[in-house]
Amino acid sequence: MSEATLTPALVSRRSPGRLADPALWLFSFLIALLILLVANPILRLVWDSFHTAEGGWSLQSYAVALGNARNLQALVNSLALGAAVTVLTLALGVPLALAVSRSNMPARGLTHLSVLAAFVMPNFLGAIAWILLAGPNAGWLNRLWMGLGGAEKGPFNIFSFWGLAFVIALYTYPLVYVFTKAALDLVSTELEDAAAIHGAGKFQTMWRVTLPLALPSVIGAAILIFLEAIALYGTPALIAIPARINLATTQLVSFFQYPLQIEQAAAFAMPILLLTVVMLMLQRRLLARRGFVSVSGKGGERRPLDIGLWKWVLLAYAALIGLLSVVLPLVILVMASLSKAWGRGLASGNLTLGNYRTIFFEQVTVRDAIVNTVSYSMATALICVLMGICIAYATQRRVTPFPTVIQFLALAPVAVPGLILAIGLYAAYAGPPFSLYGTGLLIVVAFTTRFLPIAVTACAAAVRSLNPELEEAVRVLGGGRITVLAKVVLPLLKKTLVGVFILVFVICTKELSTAVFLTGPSSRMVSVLTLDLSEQGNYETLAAMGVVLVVITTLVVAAGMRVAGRDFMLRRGG
Amino acid sequence: MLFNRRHFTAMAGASVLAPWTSGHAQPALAALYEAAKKEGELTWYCVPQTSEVAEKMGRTFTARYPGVKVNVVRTTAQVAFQRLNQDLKAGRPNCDVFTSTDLSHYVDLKGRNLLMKNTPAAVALQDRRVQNMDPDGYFHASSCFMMGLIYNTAKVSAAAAPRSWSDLVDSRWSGVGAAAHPAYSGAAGAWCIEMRKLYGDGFFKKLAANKTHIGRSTIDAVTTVISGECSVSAGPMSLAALQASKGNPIATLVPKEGPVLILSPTAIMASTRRPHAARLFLEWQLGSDDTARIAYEEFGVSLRVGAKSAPGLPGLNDAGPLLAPTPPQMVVQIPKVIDLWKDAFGV
Repeated sequence: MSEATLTPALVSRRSPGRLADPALWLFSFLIALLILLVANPILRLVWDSFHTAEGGWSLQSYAVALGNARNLQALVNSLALGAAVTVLTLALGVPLALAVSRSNMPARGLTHLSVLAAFVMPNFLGAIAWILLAGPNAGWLNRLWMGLGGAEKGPFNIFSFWGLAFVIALYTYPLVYVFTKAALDLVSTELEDAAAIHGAGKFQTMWRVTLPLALPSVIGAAILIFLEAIALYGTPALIAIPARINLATTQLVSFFQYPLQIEQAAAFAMPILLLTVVMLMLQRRLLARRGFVSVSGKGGERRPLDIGLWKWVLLAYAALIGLLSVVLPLVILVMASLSKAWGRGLASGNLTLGNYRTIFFEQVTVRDAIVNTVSYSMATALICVLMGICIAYATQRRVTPFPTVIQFLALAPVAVPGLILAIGLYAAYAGPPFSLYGTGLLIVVAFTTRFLPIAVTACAAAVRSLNPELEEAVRVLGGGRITVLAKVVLPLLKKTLVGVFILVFVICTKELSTAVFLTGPSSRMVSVLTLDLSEQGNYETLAAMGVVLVVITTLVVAAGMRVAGRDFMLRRGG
Repeated sequence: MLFNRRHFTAMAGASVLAPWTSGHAQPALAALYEAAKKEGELTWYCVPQTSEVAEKMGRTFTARYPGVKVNVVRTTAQVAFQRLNQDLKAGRPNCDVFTSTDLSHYVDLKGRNLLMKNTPAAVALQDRRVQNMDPDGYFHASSCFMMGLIYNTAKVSAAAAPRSWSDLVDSRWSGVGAAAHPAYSGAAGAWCIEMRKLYGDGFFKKLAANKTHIGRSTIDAVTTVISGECSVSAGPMSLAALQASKGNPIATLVPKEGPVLILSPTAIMASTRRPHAARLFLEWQLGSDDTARIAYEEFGVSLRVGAKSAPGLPGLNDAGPLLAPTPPQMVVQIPKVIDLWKDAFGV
């Protein structure tokens, strides 16, 4: 609140009379809110790591958390997992982006949709599906293999390091695809033509011209994937424990077992936080160099490259990825959701609608979790869009003082992995004076903090693309900033805003890491409940719940895409 | 602690006259119900039952006592305890009644003065062997189950089935055995303590070397065996018998060393804001016909004197020797077995 009163005072010295402008109050309020949202949990986390539970300064938490061989091994394992996932996502995402953006591969639209579907599918649901598909003894793929070849054992084991990396990669690769495609979409064919005129073959052109132009984006995406993989909790909880791999996130969660050791958790999180900040700085530098090459948003002709018979190879690869990430998992989930006991397979007498009846009419917990998930995600998406556009507008048009600082604040939560941010949020809001623990509001606050950067980035790019003349016209005719926002900016950017809404909504429905410590009995979400139910081995109910969630998300995405277009995930102008 | 059968029958006769049925408890119960109605609801953190059964119990209670809703929160013992502590640290006492499988949690909570002292009249209806779980009356046994051996009947014939706990580390079952992680499951913790008593510290290394599949709950073991992902496991006999009755390819047997008895304590939190609803719930949980009926239907082992177990499931009196860690053993040894387990399995 101090910011709210301070800022107008500063401004009023420069231009008296502006205090009466309601826009100034609106923006000042937003900035105060931003500082509270972002600085509070992060500072609290750092503060806690240097303190004992009793409140004195100490490095003891670091000594305990990092002085244990098992804990250090967990950090090393996480780094290895991050690297493995990054390599796999590059192998999945880059060829698909090339194929869809630059080649004459058939079914490019369908491929794009299948990537979108992989993005909509929550990671933890994918993990459940893959446990059913590739469990070493009873997985349906393994049984199919044994049935066909008469072998004694199937070849797949999801409960292994590479099994874990594979499942995570299947549901994070859309990020690589989106970044790479966005960059490739801007490479003009003229450059490739120039290479061809100078005697380069198709592959030489692609290798020496097209790909290098997209390289900064690809590396940028790879860094984000790496960070996402080391901070993921859901899939590791489901797969890493049976696979006997101790990871940083499962270790972090064990600090939350009794006795609750928030200070140690905070200390253990610091190396990961530091690594994240360094990697993100690296990413910024890489992406900043993009202006150096001739990638521009405007002009230039773009023709798909004829790649001959290779298009069929690429198509087969795209189909395989679609099969592995979307089709097989969905089929298995739908089948499990219709089974009395999933282990019995497609036997007669094993079919039932009972699991759906259970979640809709009997298990209140499940129904509540679905309702909570959808409503919290909607609320977060709405708040993110509104705050995002206001902050983007205020900083881009320099309505408020210190636009760079505000921009930095709005983007800072990106640097904090979800699980670690959750610890900070827990420390900041769970107890008095806020006492938000167990309420839906805490989840919305947490999600808003976590995903605001996405909204601000997308909105800033969109505001930059607007010519200020239109806004100035309103101002000349006596309209205030709020009129400009409501009557000019919002209508013009409707598509972008709907796109941002869908993006944030979908990400929220999938979010587990942030939610896991923050949900209470009356604010449980599907993601957290999945973890609770999976430990009972109750895959049939779980599958039914997952199918319902995917159907709801898909409907929202489909409705939104009618307004925002199918490229809503792409950050225009980045 | 263990009584013989004759003694037991005598107790059964005596307990017919217990306060619950003797008439003077009814007005007390009615008064409790009136007060509970004003509170309107209670939140029940529940571990021993599966979520279906827990929710069924919640619904049945509300049907018996209209106007008192039960918010069922079902998770594993460790998660439930973690949330409970988080709640308390955050100053949000969500939980009114806490029913779990890890005795050590109750000893800890009692030590921190976080439990309400309350002895339900219904305790008198229970088997004497399970009464007086806490001599001071802060927590009581609410239900029990036995950890026995379970196996997949499609993969293992009855003749080839394991007979002893030590069979789990036999190379015959390499890669197809399962056990639950003691850091996640209270029942697994009790089981680990008993295995350590029988076979020493080295048992866990042998279990790991035999490529035993780790689950996060003993309930999970049953589904893993039904699916065929594993062929044999240590698991809850009640749930295995229930699943077998539904036609699933699973069977359960009592190991020759005896099953591990897991008593699930229940208690009212001192921080409860609905003390009457909580007390009513405990009376119902420990002594009502509803819970005895649900225990029978769901293949539970009732603690009521003279209660029958479902077909194919041994009751308290017919399982032979029972292995059961005492509350002090649970408190001292759980961290130790978790550590041994982590050293053996790496997680």
